[in-house]
Amino acid sequence: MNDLMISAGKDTLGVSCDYSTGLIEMEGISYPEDAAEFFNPVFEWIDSYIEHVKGPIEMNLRISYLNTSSTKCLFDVIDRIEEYYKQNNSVQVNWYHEEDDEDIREIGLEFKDDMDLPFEVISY
Amino acid sequence: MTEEEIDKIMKKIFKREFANLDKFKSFIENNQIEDIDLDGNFAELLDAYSILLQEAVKITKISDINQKKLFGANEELEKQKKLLYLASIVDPLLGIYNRTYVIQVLANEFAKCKRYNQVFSCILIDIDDFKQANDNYGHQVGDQILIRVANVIKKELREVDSFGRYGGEEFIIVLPSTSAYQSSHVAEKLRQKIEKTDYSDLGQGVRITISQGISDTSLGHPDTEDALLHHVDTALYQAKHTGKNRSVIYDPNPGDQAFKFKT
Repeated sequence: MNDLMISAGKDTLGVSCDYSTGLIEMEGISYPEDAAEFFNPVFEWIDSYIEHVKGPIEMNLRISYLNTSSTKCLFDVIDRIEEYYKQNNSVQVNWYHEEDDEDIREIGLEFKDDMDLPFEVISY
Repeated sequence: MTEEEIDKIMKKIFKREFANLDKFKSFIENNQIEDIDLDGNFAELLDAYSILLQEAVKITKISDINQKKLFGANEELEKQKKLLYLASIVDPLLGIYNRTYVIQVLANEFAKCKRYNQVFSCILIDIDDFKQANDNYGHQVGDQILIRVANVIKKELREVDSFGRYGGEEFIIVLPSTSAYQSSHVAEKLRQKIEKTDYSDLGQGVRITISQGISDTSLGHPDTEDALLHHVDTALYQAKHTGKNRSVIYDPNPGDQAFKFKT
């Protein structure tokens, strides 16, 4: 299994997924033309990690803007991790927001509220 | 992107939901309702629908927050654009228009007056012996003198007049729908106010006067705004060389004596 690295674009997130540690990081803004295509490698990587590595997952999200399609895709990403957590695996999701960015904090809380897994909203 | 392409992307994003829909649709289409486990399938459908509804609510809420954030950012951008525009037309020390902007106003006014055959006037002001004051009292006092003079002038002008810094210690006023003769009364009032203003807090013996050149679009019939500027400059030159602390209207026939004001 390989790591996944996607550099941030002007309208897409920077993504890194490390299979040796199970660390998934996403950072930046997300309003790609085709959100499904952008998130597809992330879905594939997570599915493969869950199937083959079966290790812990820590996901750190530092997102400052998400369009509606990306929001739906991110729900699907977290859904997969939630499902994995429900199978007694170690999982942690951290949503980071700038201290004075109330909107992004609120979005983090909306995600947290919907999920049944360890989810922290952290200011920096 | 075409609507078809967007629909295709949406089908990919909502793959799971469309798959559920297709599955249950096929039960009905193939008349399988009687053969399937109704309780189990109904529970599954209800579950999928609950998840979808819950997600739809969340996504709507998050979209609203994002829209608010975007509009907030847009408002901030507009504010910054206005500030930037203001910074590009205002003299940072005096808070009055800069030369570029007043020259633009002058050009616009000139074009308007030419088209409608109207008159407007212009006053060019220079602080007398400013360099000397700067040398004697220092640049900081020099700046304070400029600020004070600008404030005195600002107070005396109409809303429609445009007032700006023309150069170092030179100011310019564009007075729409006003002849040079009418403007000379304004200029004279300014001259007297500046002369009578108290500058003693800036340094012992600080005394400030101004010289002014006045002209309008009928005197000497300037055919461009540059020609008008040349006329007021000529009148200002005359004010300086006939003793300073005075206002002079441009004389298109230099053989005759220029019209002067002096207390």
